[in-house]
Amino acid sequence: MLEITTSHYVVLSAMLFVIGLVGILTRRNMIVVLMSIELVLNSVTLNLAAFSYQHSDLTGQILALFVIVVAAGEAAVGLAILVALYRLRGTTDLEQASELKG
Amino acid sequence: MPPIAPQEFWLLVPEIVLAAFGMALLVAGSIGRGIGGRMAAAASLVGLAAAAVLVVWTQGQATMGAPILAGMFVLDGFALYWKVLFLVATALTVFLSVRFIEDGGYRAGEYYSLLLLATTGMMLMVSGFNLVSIWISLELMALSSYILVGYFKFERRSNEASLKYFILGALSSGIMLYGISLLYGATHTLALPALAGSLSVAVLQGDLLSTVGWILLAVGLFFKVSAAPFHVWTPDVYVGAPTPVTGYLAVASKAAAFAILVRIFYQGLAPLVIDWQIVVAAVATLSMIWGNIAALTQRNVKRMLAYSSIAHAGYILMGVLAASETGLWALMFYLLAYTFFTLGAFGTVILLERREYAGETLDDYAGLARRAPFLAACMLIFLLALTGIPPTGGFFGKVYLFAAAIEAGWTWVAVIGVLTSAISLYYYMAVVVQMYFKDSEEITPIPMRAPGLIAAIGFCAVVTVILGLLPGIFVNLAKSSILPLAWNLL
Repeated sequence: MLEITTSHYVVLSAMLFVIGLVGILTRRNMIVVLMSIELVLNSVTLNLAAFSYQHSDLTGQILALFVIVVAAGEAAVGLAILVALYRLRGTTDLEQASELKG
Repeated sequence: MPPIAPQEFWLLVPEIVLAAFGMALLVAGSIGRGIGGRMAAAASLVGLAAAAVLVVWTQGQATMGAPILAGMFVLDGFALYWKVLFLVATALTVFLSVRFIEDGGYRAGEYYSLLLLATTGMMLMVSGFNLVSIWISLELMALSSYILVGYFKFERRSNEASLKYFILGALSSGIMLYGISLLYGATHTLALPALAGSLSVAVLQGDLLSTVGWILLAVGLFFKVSAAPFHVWTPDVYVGAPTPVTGYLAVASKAAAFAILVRIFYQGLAPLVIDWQIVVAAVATLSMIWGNIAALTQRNVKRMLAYSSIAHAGYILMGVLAASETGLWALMFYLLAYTFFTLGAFGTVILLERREYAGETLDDYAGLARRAPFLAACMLIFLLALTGIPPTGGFFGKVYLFAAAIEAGWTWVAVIGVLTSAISLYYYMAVVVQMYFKDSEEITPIPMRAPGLIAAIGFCAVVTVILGLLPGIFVNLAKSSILPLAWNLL
């Protein structure tokens, strides 16, 4: 039997984090970008829960709860901006929003 | 862990009052037809004044450097200094906003409400003594400013700016949080003093988890202060956002991010000083070079100020780099001066702006000295201060920062700072040349309505000059506010 240790969780969370990071940077659809942001925050939550269990220390779980709350707030703000974008341009494609050129 | 005494909450009364004002404005703004712009602005000024009085009264007398609420927050002179600075900067932003929001035709209640909530986030953040409270306050500030940037929701550029700010902001926040989770894994704690204690052991063992952790945390912080190479959002967001919000982001948001960067680096990551100094030196150099060179070719004044803000992040990082008491008070003095001359410069842009973003290009400044002599004179003071020429606060600010870097042995960074400042002379003076030596086709005087805005610009100009003539008073203020602090590093 393979025992599941903290490092398994950390590796899984690192994978989720990288998938989310790549998604935010490469995807052009705002909805997918929002999903990728959630993925990054969930990887953090997983990390915190795993470490918290390993150390038998509650601080990590408390931060994990706060992360979930803030993730909800962030999704709400992101969707509100998305609705405004759709009303202005009739699309959720980020390529269409490129009037300002860095 | 000792139980929390109820009276400890009284020490946070300034923040609670400010948040209450913010939420009351939110409710008042959404009932029926909402409240008028002037009414909302007046209410938010009352809230800011109340918070300023309370912050000096309750937190000024609190036991210095005593952690409260189970070590979540700390009340010290350092936090007090920044809190007063944020309140002043926000009050000036309110003065800059009144006419702009009226002309834009958007509801005012929510705007001022978000401004106050963002300020609450900043105030809590500089008092943060635990990565949990620091991160949540940071998010309060960030979420409010995403909405503020997109506040002109029928304006395509404002919406696009808020979209970019949101995506990159969420990304940086995620990276920072991941770093925090790794640091937690390595050290079992999120409190800054305990973190420093555990890290000094972990460093000796060459622990991978904590190394990756602090680097990711630092990346998130560099993003917030808009230092290169994490600055990509800055130009677009600064140009697209409503101009008062741009001023607010450039000043208050940046000052708050620097304050917490110093708090985390000097207190939490103190054992890693050798490592983070190398990173900070690289980021500072890159910001100064990139910001100043990119600003050279800009024709839009807001975009030019955005690149100049990246360059200034580089100069200010020199104070962090020094890792000394001199560096710390130099940084605090510079950000104080920076608040006034940058807000003043954005105020001038606002006054020249008309609907649909006209009045932002360099050509709109042609012949300004004849059309509005007072405005041109104020803008001249702000530009001199941005370049770092006496008799303005910008001069002494830069001198102190460069001196701190040299004193700490980072002479080559200071040399790059001086050289890039010389480059910056070119693009700042381009505006002066337009104002004083070019004639425009339009010779009608610029209407000087909006007395509040003009008073705010004049006030910023006066303070900028006072800071240049009597820097000693403010330097002593900054020095005395860091004295009672148990900086692990100093």
